[in-house]
Amino acid sequence: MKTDRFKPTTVYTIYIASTPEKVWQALTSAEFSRKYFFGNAVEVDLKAGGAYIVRQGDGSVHISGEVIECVTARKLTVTFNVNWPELVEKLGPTLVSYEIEPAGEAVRLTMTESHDRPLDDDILSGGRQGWPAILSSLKSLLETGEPLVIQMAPPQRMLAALKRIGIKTP
Amino acid sequence: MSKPEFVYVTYIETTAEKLWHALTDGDFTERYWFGARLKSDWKVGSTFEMVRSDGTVSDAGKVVEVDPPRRLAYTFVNLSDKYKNEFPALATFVLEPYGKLVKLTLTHEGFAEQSRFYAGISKGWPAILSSLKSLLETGKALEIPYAALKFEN
Amino acid sequence: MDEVFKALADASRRSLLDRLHARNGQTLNELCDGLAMTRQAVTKHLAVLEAANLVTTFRHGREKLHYLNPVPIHQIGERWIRKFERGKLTALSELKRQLEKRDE
Repeated sequence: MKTDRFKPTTVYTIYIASTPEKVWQALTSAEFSRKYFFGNAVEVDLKAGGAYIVRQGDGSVHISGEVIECVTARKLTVTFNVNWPELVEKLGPTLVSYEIEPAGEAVRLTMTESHDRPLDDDILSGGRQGWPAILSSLKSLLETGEPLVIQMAPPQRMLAALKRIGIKTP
Repeated sequence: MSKPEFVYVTYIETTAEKLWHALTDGDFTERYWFGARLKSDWKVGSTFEMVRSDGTVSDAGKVVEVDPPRRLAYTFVNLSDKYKNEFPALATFVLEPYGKLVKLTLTHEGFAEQSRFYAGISKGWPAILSSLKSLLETGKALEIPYAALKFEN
Repeated sequence: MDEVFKALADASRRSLLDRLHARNGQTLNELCDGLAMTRQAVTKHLAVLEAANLVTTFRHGREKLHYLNPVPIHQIGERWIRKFERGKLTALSELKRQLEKRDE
């Protein structure tokens, strides 16, 4: 899949006292991700074209996509499509890229969310609300051994915007 | 034609009071703010300074809003030749309790479109606030060398 | 707010603010350069602007740098200009609506 037409809409950078390998493991393992990703488990086949799945606690698939680029402990780019009917048809695919770089004794993790067409800020607000929470929790998990318990309200602005364009959300 | 604005949200396991103290006390800031001591009496209208370890002042500003431990806002400029002619931009910290956590939202706005300082602060804030979070949660700030931020010359 | 309006009510002081808007963080020498005002006059005007919080100064080594403080002007914009603009725009769109109704 050609990714040049994708443009970044949300970028989040966080520094973590850990190693690139541990951060990579946290991003790609079901066991770790369940702890910081609101109970969702990441299942990924780490090769170009491999499946990328985020499974909810009840076993249902919440997000699905494929691996676009995979460099162990350095870079992971996936398509990241929430499984709501007509979402991809109406809004296009979502690309998520994680870059891991050493920064002294810490690691810099940069998450970039990109889209292939301009999207309303209301639509993007869901991700903008979620990413800082997910990545803050990942950082705490790696540094203290415990994730953060963040009771996040559903992203109302985004849900209302999706409803307006006819996308049914749970 | 929109002016550049930087927003950063982080969730920290701490209390709003502890976080407020960490943002405004020089002994604390020295540990996570690349060695800078923030110095002010934190009254609206007062100036504040960021003082380097060698005693020189790197940035100076004005306190705009003080509502402990919920909102803190100040404008500041970097006094180096490269940035000293820029317009002071406004940095606002909002501290919201979130169960046992505090949600910290930093908005840095008011930069001119051609601001070069904006590029610098966009790289600096994630490092400073990540280090602050580590310090409050683990007792140890992050060891990030300045060079790792890759500021352009 | 009175001191702000009084400070702005002088053309020389407004021209100093324009200079700082074009390039912020100037020393007294830089501000005086090329101006028809005497250094003494500039100093007096800067003092009025500083008292009105329109200009702030920061010490940088042996120099004193003058900065346009954006906050009072922003407050004037919000309190006095934007609300009148909003009123004007609503009146214009209402007029347009009335005219369009008549054409139907």
